[in-house]
Amino acid sequence: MFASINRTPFSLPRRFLLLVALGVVGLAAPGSALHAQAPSGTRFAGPTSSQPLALTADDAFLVVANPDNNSVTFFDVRAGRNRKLLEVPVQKEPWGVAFLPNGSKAYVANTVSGTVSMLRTNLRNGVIQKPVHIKVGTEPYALALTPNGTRLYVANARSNDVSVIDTASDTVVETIANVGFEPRGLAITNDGDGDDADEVVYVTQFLSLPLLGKVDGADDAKAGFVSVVSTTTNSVVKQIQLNPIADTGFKALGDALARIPPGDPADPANFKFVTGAYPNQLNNVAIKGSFAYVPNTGASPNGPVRFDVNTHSLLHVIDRVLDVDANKTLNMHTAVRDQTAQPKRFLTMPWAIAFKHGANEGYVVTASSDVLFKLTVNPADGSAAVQFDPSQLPGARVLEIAVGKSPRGIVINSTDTRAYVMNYISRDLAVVDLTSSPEQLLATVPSAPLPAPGSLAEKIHIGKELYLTSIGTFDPAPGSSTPIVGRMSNNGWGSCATCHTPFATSDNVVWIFPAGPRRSLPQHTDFDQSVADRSQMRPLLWSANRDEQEDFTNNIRGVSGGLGLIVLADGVTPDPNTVPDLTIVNGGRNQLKVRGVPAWDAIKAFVQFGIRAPISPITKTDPDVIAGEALFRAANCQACHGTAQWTTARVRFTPPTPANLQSNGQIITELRKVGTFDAAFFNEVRQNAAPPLGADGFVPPSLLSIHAFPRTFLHNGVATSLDQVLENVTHRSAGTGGVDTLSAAADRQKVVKFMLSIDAATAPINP
Amino acid sequence: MRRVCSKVARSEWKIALTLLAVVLCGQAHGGAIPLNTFLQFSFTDVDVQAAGCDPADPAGAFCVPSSGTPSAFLDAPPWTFSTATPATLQVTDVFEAGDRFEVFDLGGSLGLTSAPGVADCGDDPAVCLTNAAISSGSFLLGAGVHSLTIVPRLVNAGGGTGYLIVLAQVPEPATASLALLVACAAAGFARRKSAG
Repeated sequence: MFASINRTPFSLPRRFLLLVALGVVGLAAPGSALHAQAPSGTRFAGPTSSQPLALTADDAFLVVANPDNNSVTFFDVRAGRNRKLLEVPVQKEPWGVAFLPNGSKAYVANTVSGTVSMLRTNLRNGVIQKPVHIKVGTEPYALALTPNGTRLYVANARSNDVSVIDTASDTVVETIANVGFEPRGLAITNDGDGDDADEVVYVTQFLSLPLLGKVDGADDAKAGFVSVVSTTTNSVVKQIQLNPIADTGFKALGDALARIPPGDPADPANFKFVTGAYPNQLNNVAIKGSFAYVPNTGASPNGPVRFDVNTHSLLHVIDRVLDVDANKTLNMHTAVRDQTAQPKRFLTMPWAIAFKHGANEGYVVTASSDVLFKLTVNPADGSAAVQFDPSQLPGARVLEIAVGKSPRGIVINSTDTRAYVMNYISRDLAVVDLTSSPEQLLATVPSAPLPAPGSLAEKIHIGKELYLTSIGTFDPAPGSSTPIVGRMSNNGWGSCATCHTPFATSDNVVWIFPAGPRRSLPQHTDFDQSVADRSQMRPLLWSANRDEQEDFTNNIRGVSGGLGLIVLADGVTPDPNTVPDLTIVNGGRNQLKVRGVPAWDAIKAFVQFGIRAPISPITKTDPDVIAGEALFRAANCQACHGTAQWTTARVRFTPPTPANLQSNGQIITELRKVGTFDAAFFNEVRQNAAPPLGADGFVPPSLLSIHAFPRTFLHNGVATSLDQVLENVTHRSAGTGGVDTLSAAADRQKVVKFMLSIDAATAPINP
Repeated sequence: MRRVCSKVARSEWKIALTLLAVVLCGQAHGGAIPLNTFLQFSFTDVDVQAAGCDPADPAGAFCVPSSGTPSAFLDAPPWTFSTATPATLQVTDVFEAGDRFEVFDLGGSLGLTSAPGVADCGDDPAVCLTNAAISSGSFLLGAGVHSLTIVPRLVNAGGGTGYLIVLAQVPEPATASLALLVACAAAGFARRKSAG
């Protein structure tokens, strides 16, 4: 069977024969051995796009990121095997992955570590070599390779630049600045030749930015932006503005900014106010033909805020010939609105998109409603349409394929027979058959282990699941075996993440809420993360009118249209007695459960322990940062913005709020009046068109990682820079009894730089 | 005991103590390898000594394990063990053919595995051993202590992984021979002391 050399140790004649044999086959000299041919597949079939999973060009192997496990998993998908080969540790919080076309190397963007791991792989031979870590920018998130795999582009979400890695030397050869704020998504063209220096890279900026002359709170206040980078020069050649849409297709009950109060919701005729929306949360971009497509969560902030007139599932289309907005924006929610069958599941948080190579068809995954849905695109004008289930009556139901919990990425193989979906919460890989009609889920393969049952990690994970989902699947009520489903929103319209992003921070949108214009607060600032048990919480909302996380069961009901998580003793009936004010205790009430864990307890645990502060790209030793900190201290800014939470506001009692601390529904003792409220300003209005709260002051916002939320500051977004915030003399003198220590613009700029450097690694300043 | 130990020639004591030292050194990095078990190693390039597999060997590569016949990862080489009776060492490539190994015991070459053909035998070493196109070898080992290393002489680009298995002809705990040696040493020492 094999060339056995049976011998006993130390047999010299045999050793001599062996040496002769080695000489005969020419292998005795080091380095003279023959190398087998590299695997086939040297170019990708089409354009590339950043995803948390990647295929080799020959469709044989797949690599999937496991962000919460600090690992990646390799799969063998040849001939339908769909086999998990190996989970390999990398560095902290891997998100983006890429495979060289021939599969000889895999790359992983470690977001927290600020590195890209390179792993030499020979999966056909069962081995993955140890990773080499390449230092890049701050919070690398997305990776995309050029068509021939010679250059790897890395979107550094916090240093606002793109690193270019030469995949032959695995070194950073360029860092492209000025790509815009928070680059998150990458797509690279493929012109089919062997030259990678003649392609174009599209880079999405995650958060939208204010438009000149507009005021946040309006549905057209901001725009999305996509940078265009030439691989010839590795420089930005254009910024594409993705415009708001004037009509979402959904109508509101009133128009707060026009001071028109809402009518009676019981009368359908009162839903007569056209709503617009601007693009936001641009996580991904994919190229198809002469167009590029950007799924995003549009914001429609003008009040009254209601489940179907707040966020929208938008698809913006870029004309790649002119590199402009093609003005073919589609609100994908409208397809579900129009379907005739019940129940409906809206397409919430469209997060990633991929197209077939040989057809004008694409697929989008939704991070909150847990489905994959299908698009067709018109190659002539770029317009797209959501597809309905062909197995049902025409128009009956949008084709939605349940793929797993919080799907975040999708790739399609080169022959258009399979789609693979990375599910972030269920930590698995979904395999979808694209050859059947309708397309269907073929298999689900675990990618990484879930937290141990009964552990704090599991509780946090369940909380994250509930935070992200617009549906929610809960344990059956006592005496029942049927899971309770769909309490998080009306027909899966909204989730906590739709306004706080899947990173659980902030969409930076100013919403016209019941209290007035209110910019979404980043939730990594809710609890003092320096306190081990996370028991220190700031008052919630800008006006300190919530003192418990559980108070937001009323947001689930009022904003998202869901039934909420607090139930009566029967374990299923929504408890009506959950008034969102300071007089009722909502914590510790009877709750729906997930795998035995009370739902609100889990969400609270996630907010306490599961959200990290964005990492600042500014070094702490920068001389201006050091000088700015000294000026910050001298101005006694820490009186309001001190401590490790970078706000001194606290809930200093066990709820309910004592009556003597309340005024006008606010924890009055935690508010500060620093001249940031102007009742006459255009967007200072409640959603019912009445005058807003604000005269009593606001909760000092946390400065922790304020660098991550650009160009819209203060409760109503009126300041478009931190410099502008500090131009307010009353505000900057509040800590020194009115003595202005920051009158010099140069000093204020240093304070701004210090503030932009603040993250979890900054030593706190106590009052 | 005295009669048994008397069979150990005085001239062999030095060898026995040397082997004992080898075993103890081997144990310092993870202990003797188990017998009758498929054990997986990794390799990167020609003429570069094979390593174990991570995490058993932190210096080794990550190895795709067998999905069929049970197996374990090897720790860092050399891989040591002892047998009271002669044993058979089998070494095999897995997955794609194209790799070939030279096997060493106590620094001396035992020989090469067979010349590879063209095949993909998958991840199961028991299956791969039956595939003539996959490089493998079988080596008889004498009783006593052994210290194995493997050097690939042909390597698919990107490295790979393979298996070894020591088939003890009469299964016996490796510690039995060590115990015998220690007992003999103790008896000899006692005899010498009483004689003195």
